[in-house]
Amino acid sequence: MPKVAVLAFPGTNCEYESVRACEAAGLDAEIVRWNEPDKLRSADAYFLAGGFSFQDRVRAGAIGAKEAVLDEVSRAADAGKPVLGVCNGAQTLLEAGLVPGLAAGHPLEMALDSNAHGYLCRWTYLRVENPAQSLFTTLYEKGEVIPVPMAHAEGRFTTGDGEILARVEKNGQVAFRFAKSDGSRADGDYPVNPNGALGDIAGLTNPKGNVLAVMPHPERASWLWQLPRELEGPWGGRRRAYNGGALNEAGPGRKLFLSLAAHLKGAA
Amino acid sequence: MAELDLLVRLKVPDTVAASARFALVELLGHADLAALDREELWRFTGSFDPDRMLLGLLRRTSRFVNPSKHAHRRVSSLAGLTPPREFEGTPVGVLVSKRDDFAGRNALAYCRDTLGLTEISAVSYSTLWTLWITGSDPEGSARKMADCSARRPGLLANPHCEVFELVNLV
Repeated sequence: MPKVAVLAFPGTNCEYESVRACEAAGLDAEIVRWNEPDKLRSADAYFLAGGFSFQDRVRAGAIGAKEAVLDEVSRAADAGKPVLGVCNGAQTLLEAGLVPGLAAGHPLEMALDSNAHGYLCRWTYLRVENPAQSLFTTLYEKGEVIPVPMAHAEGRFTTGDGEILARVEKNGQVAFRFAKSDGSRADGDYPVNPNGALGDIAGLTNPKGNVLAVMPHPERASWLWQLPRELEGPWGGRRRAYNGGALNEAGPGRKLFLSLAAHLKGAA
Repeated sequence: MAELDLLVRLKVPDTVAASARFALVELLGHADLAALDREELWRFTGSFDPDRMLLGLLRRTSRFVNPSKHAHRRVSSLAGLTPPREFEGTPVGVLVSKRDDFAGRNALAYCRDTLGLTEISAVSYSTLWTLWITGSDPEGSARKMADCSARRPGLLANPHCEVFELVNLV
């Protein structure tokens, strides 16, 4: 069974639910602490889980990105292994220069800056943009809308170089965009775009598609019972019709992990 | 237009500064960094008497200076500023500001809408890091520690959301 290393720094707090989301997709997942880089080498994929590594000191993800364990993750990413960063994991991947990953040598090309309206914990709607671009999204349909919760204060994709954004868009590296429940554009409007991200970007991949940084939490939308009843769109209807019988019924985030599993099993 | 510059630092141990120093020395190899301090710089601009404004802010809110945990000092200019303490090495200031200063904007709204201080027209927020550097090129070292345009060797300012400038300290 393909093995996923769920990386936990001091302050990471989503490692257990991240393991469960992987396991629900048929993957073998194990928590690996930040000071155990040797344990990473046997993994087939890496999942930098959410939380507040190093208490978000200096900038969210900034200190974790300097740790030796990211040397190993960078090498794995360069070798084509899947690397997923959710929330604080996404912040760490951007601070490590792995996303958007346009230039060689991993310079920092974007930032996940403070939200325009501070810390927010709420459900958002994500539109799947380029499912074929990333191995994490292949099972989604282009334009599919999925409700996924966010919980962050520093999740606003931004860059000091407008050319970077143009190249990211041209390459199709935007995996998920904040959108209205019917899939129409947010155009930066709050609260549909809850943090003010450029281009309404909620998730971004590298050019090869093996590294994905996503701010909302797909692992918290992996089971239907995790969804609130008041959601709009088809997922809200499914949740309201759900009688609680089948506890393992999949939520909208499950396909991300199933896409990863399909890739890993296909590669095996 | 008047300006009120307020430097605020923690009276209790500053874990952010401790973690920044740990990352710079232990993870990024800046062995010439002897010590590091952090202060918040709040700059209030508007049509007011700075002395009275300072007294009013200290009396009416703990948002900027909480006397239980903060020490503050009013400064007229950052150039030639005295470091918050004495230490080994040459002190170099690194002032880091956000490209999009939401903290400043939110503080302005708070001052005007909650406190009714409509004479304040702008508030900005920055972080002043004081680095004590023992090497032969303190400014060069400080610049390397600040510039986080790559994963290594910098930390303090991600150029995609922050700008930094060096500040001469005496």
